[in-house]
Amino acid sequence: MISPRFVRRLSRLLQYGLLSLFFAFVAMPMAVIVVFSFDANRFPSIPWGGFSLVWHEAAWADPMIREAFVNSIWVGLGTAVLSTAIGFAAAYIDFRHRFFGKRLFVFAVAIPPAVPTTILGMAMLAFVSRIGLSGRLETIVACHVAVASSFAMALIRLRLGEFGRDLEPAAWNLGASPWAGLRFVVLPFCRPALIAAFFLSAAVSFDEYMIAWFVGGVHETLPVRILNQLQGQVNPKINAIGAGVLAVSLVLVFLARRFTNLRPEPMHGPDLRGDSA
Amino acid sequence: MTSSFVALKGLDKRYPGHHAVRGIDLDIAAGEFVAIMGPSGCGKSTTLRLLAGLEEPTGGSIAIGGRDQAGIPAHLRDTPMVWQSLALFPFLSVADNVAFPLRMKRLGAKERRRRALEWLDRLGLAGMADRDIAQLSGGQRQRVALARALITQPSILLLDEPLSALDAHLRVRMQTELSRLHRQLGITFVYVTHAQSEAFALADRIVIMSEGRIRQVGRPQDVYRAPANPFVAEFMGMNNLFRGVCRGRADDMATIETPAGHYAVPARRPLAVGEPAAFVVAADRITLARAEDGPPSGPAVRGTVLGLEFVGSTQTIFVETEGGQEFRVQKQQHEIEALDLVPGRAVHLAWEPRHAWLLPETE
Repeated sequence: MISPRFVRRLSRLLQYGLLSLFFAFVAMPMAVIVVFSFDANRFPSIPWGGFSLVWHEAAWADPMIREAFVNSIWVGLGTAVLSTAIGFAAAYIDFRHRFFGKRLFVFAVAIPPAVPTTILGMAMLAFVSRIGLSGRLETIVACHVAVASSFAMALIRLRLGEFGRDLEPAAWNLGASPWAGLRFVVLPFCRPALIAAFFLSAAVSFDEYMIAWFVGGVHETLPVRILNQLQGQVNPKINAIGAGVLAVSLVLVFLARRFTNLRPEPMHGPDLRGDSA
Repeated sequence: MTSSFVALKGLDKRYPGHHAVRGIDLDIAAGEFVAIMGPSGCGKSTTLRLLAGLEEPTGGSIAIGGRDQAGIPAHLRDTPMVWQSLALFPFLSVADNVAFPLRMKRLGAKERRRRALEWLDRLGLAGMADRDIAQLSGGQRQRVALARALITQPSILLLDEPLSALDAHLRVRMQTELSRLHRQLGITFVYVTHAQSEAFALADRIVIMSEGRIRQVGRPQDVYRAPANPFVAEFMGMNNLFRGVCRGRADDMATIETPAGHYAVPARRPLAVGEPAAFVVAADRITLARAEDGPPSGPAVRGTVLGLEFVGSTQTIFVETEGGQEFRVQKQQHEIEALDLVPGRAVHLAWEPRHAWLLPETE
């Protein structure tokens, strides 16, 4: 007889096994890139040729890669700042005001991430070249903002959903001008979501290839550089860049998570029963 | 009216598709405790928000301290409010919540802190200054909201159902606290509530509203004993209403014909024969007798006991009259013990003619 206990254990083991396989499948390519970026061999191959920083150094020494990296940082930063600001404004308008065409407005803000990036990139290129703005770093920022502010708005709007309707009027009632209410009540309340939106927008921008490739012209961001590099010779420098991009993205996403996962602050109201005063 | 501190004149507020406040006039004296009561949607909270400048009136005027409030935005009025939801700022500490109005007045951090601690102390929250709002109990939050509203030493305090979220025991304690604060500060309190017990326990004067209009203003005992119209009489709950037509007058009594019979009622106002009239008999003015003991000599109606409800030592007896109305009788437990009242028992409800109150308004 097989004991039920044994069956339970086996079942549990299989469940964990399956889950591990799944994560291995997802993470393996990234792990491979990271591992081989530290490999001394000329070509990624087994056995490993020993630990070496030579490809990281080579990548860093490549002026084009360096420039792309710096471009990515600027674009990411600019996108993060603008998207957070615009995302907040859009979320606040949706939260506070009622007006004709509001649904359309909210829909328009939410739609960009749903459009295939190829189409988005082409459309953006067609538009910015017509108004004479193609091939500029600022243009990449503007186009990234169009996509990233959707995410920023979604995050901040979610937070505002927990914002008591009375809090802002209460602030006015206690002497806060509408601007002071925004500054001292709405913004502090939204702070975790604002920070999360900032990092998430930066991450979206930092990883984005298609739009940057279409509208950037001669200005390459890091993902564009990687693809261009691949079209030339295959070089372990790619792995080094990949590892670097991966590290930055992970940090950004981790930071974004860190701030969205904040302990939800209990609002006023729900628990007014007990009293120990 | 130079003595009125708050003066509402023809105050009106229309929303698209909803006329919330329909031209009300009200004068409130400095230092008075006024409670505004009414069923939900009667416009009482809107009136309070209009006073605070959180809504723009669509007609009429508000003067506070002799100053017309038209065009003064909410943050420049000194009309702090205690909210039903309390509306404490969850991201600020207790002391920072209390000091918020001072921060808006750009007072220095030290002075803000000093005065916040002073008020916390005064409301029995000493030592709580650096706690999170989330760590406080319901009663403590209530006090924080009060301290925050009072820290600027306003001359008027608005309260919007401030105790409705508390349990019964705590509510009574906070009532005492509010009473004490009102006495000590000597400022005007305008208190919106739907709870009769709170209004009666606290207010100097009661304003009863329905459908955006004021239906009666008066001292609690006046509103209770001398309702102005059927709405107020029924809103007070412990009144039994008779509607009918005046059929005759003799001296200072009028005879009113109602579906339940003819009744003599003290005519406290001019009343023409043939004119519609309504009167009430308060639940505690009625005496009960069992039907088999024969009809009483004075005015009475017959009915059937529907049920009984204990409220401490008093008991409320619900009776369905022969006309199908539900009447209430309020008695001390010992007064009715002998009657053995059970649902279904036939009874006579009797009262002395002088206890019938002819309503000044029929509608």
